[in-house]
Amino acid sequence: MTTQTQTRGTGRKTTPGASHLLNWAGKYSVYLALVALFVFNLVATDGFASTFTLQNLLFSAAPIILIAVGQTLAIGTGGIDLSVGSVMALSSATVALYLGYGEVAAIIIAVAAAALIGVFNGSLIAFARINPLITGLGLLVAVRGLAQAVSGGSRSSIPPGGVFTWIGNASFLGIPVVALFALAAAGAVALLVRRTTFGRYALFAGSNREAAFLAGTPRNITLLAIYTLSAAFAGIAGVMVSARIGASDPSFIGINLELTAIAAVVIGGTPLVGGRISILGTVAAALFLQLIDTTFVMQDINFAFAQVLKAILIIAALYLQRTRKDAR
Amino acid sequence: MTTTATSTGAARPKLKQGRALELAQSYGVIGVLLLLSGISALLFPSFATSANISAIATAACFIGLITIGQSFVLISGGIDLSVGSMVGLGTVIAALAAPLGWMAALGAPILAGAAMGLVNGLLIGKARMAPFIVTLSALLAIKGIAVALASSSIIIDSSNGFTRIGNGSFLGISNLIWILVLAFAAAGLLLNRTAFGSSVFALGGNEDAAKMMGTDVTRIKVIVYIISGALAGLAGALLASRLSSGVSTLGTGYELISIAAAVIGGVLLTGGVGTMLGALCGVLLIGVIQNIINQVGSLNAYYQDLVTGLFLVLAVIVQGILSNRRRK
Amino acid sequence: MSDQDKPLILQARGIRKSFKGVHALKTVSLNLYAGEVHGLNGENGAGKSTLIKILTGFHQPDAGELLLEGRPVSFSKPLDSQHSGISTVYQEVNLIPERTVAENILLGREPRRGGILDKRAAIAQVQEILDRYELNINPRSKVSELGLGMQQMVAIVRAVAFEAKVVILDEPTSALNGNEIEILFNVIRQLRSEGAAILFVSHRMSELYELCDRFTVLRDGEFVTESTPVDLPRAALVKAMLGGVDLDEGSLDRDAARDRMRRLAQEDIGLSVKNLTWSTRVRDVSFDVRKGEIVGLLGLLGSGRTETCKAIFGAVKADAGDVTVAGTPLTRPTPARALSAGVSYLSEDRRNEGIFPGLSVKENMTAAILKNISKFGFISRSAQNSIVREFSDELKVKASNAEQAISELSGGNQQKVLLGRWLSLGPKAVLLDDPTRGIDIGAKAEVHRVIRALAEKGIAVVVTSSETEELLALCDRLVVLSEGSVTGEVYPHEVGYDDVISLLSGQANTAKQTAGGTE
Repeated sequence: MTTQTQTRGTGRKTTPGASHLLNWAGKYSVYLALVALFVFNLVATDGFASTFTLQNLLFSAAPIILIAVGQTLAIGTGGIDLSVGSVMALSSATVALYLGYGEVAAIIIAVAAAALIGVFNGSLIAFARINPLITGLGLLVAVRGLAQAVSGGSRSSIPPGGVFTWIGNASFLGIPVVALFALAAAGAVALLVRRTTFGRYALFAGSNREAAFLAGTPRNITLLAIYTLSAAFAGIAGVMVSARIGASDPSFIGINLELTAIAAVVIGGTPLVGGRISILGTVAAALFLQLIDTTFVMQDINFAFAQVLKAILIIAALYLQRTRKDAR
Repeated sequence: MTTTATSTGAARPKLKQGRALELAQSYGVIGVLLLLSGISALLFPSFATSANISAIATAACFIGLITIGQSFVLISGGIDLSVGSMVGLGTVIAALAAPLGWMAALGAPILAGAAMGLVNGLLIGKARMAPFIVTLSALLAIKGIAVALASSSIIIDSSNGFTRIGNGSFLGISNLIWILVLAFAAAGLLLNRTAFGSSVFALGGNEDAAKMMGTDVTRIKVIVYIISGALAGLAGALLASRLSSGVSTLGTGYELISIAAAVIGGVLLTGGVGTMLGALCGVLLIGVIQNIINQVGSLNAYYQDLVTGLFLVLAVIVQGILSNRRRK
Repeated sequence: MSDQDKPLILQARGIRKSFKGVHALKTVSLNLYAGEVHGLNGENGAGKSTLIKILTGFHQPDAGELLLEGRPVSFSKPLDSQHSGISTVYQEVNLIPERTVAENILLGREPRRGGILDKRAAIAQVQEILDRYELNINPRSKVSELGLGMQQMVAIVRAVAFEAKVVILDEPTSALNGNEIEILFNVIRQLRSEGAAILFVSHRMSELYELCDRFTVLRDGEFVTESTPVDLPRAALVKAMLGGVDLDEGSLDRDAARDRMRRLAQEDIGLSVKNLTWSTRVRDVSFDVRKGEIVGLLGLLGSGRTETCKAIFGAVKADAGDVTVAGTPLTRPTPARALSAGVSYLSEDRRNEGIFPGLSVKENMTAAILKNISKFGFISRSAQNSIVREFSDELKVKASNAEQAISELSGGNQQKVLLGRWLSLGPKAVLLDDPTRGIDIGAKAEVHRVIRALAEKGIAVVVTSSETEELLALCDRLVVLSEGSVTGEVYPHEVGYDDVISLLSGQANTAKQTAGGTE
């Protein structure tokens, strides 16, 4: 009886050794891919193994890690947050708008404005029970429109020498501060997921909604908190990007980044149907996706093909998840 | 027999109210459109001029064509987020093919769109992957291909006969308006007067039931995505003809506007319900709103996005309330 | 015999089917004759739905054969069965709600002219069919505008309108009122006179006897008997369905039971339910459970036993009624409030309402208690582990370790994990909805032992089961439910098995009549 139930999980593979290896490879494929691409670049890409390149990579990856982590939580509950790219733009626009009150105040207001969008989104999803896909689509357009409307859609530079310049350039022990921040945030969320009731409630909501309700868990509050957190992370990501480019640019910041975030989540091994959350996988996948961009740029391949490759990766990852689930 | 008479008699007032709500859901958009147009005509002297009305209708052609495809997909219970990128790619392909003659310039984008729709449809219908993630990935991939084909805009020689399609007129009315009207009429016929149309409604209304009643669900899904893709390609070709150029960024965000237009026009996001007349009115309503924003001098064009996004969310909320009421 | 007059249309011989090693059907046979209504009877888990799914091509049998008009047939998908002339109408109406009656009936075979639908011909065709069955339905109405009963009629008409040889009706009456049932029966009789073979499933005794020409009875996946209503009167039918296992009267120590009742009478009320009403499914239900008492909700399928539990727990919002837990009223119950008031509820639907499939035994068992074992939101791992250890031992959960995914366990072990989830909360009252459903005999005995231990601890226990003997053996008192209402109360030690059977069969009869009268 026990042997029967155990083989059911792995499906109808041939030999136990091969299936074990396949499972192992499937589970760790994103980490293997990350390492493999990194090693490839070390060997084959001129100028890759430099502090400048690697720091640049991390500077670009930091905001993506942040929004991807938020996205992982949303997807873990069986939902999705499509507004993150536009919320980054709103955050950037808000920075420009309130720079007069001081840089720190502008940052706080920008992140708060972003979080407010998250509260709105989360309320629609949790209490009004609207499909997160739709609220996200609506906000994707509306929030980008808002960001461009309040800023007139134009780029305005942030005076150098202050907090923003520091955020955009500072490193600690050679590692960009923004990357350290993003990794710390990812670590904190991973801790939340692993160790707290909040993380459990999120998993329960994604795994079996009805059972979560009958177990008396606060599903609505959990969803509200998750979409708020996701938007707040997007707000911070918007500040990071603005600081890096030294300007507020609501027309370009965050364009299509919701897609990159979803790609990171899916490739990182969190299933779209919810019920499982892999923060480490998401971080690795976000780094991997950023590394693809860097590789294309440095190998002088038309950057547009990176987009196509990402799309194929998403579909492939989903297809693999699908068969793994069907086998169960 | 008398017993049934009493039972239907008791249900009648409820039925009447249900009908009223249903009419509001399906055709409320016509009322809103007329009301808004009337107010605008009074407020802005430049609104009710034949030039302005013709401009609204001409601009509506591009969104209108993809809204037809989007409506088929939505009614079948899916969603197509790739149409905006496809419009962009369509303009690029049309511009590239224009030197070969107008037929190539018109036909190639349609074929490309249909091919993309076929891929979407197979992944969704055959491989049973979630429509939004498949078409979202397609959005990314198609944009990548468009940028790869044309990193900057491709100008079509103004002497090329192809540009006449988008700029010419017939019987004093712009060709584009003729195309829009004919397309909607054909779509209405296909949806309401053919066995295919019935299957689309059945699939979106209750997929399990449709399957049990013998509908080839996979085939219908593939076809609706092909229709959507081909129409997006056509919209791209016409846009290229109108603007005498192919630009990869054209059509960005059109997927959202087409969803908003369809939903505002009474197409249910949950599938199974919708009319082509309603969808057309949704397209025109969005056109009128954008036109009004332009008429109000103090608002910049970005408010269009803000209003469109909020309108989408609002329309979904109203739809939810209306259909909940009706179910009670 | 009259059997010879009527041709045999569909025959199932020696059908065997198991899922993941669990037998759902063991050598079942069925004979359907033309021009007959054939009642398929059996309690939950008897194998009715599996048999129907085999006849309709959803499942393929492991062994045995199907003969349609004497020729062996095999269906690899539902459409195959439909094309062979077997039409099925399910419990939940399977129609396209937002389309018209005519469109639903004709979907896939619409009359066309040059590729364009001929709507007028369609309406005329459908009107003709509706007239044939004397149905007063407008073909232009949307299905969603019709009552459930009329929707059912549309589904049946769709199923039979085009040369159906066999019509399977799976609990078609469960959602219908008296008038609608009459209309449905007229349709069925019309079908019978046209020579179709009708397989009819219903849990209402009176309907079976009103309509059927022949019965087949299944129990625990086995064929019990084929007979006619005359040869198999009510009490015999119920007995055949529930099993002939007479309770060993000796094992039931009447004196001990009376002693226990006397003792229980001194105890306080642990759970009190007053005038609980939810829609038409729970009607004015009242009963008390003393601390340490095991009360069984006895009723056939569809009697409202599950709905009563859910309304007490707040899983559905009751329209009226009061629930009191150990003297404290439970106001506006929701699962969260009920849990903090000390009520636990084990759902009958383990898969959809119980387990978190991808998560571990540990997470599943501690899902409801996290609030109590965490500080500032951080879950105490040691507390979590000790709860899992304690209840895994007490309930004898067989899992390789606490981290194993619950979906990899057997049904019985999954159920034990869920029991652990609810018992670890230290409840004052527990609602156990069919706790032994679909689990093997060993696990069943284990669950019984646990339930008795709960009562020993002074917990008020409410339990339901699809097996009457189980309740008779387990409970101190039985509250009899029928069509959502309490229709009686019995003490197992004072009644015999046959008394309960007649109570159940008789109850089903009178209740149906009163329900029909009020509607």
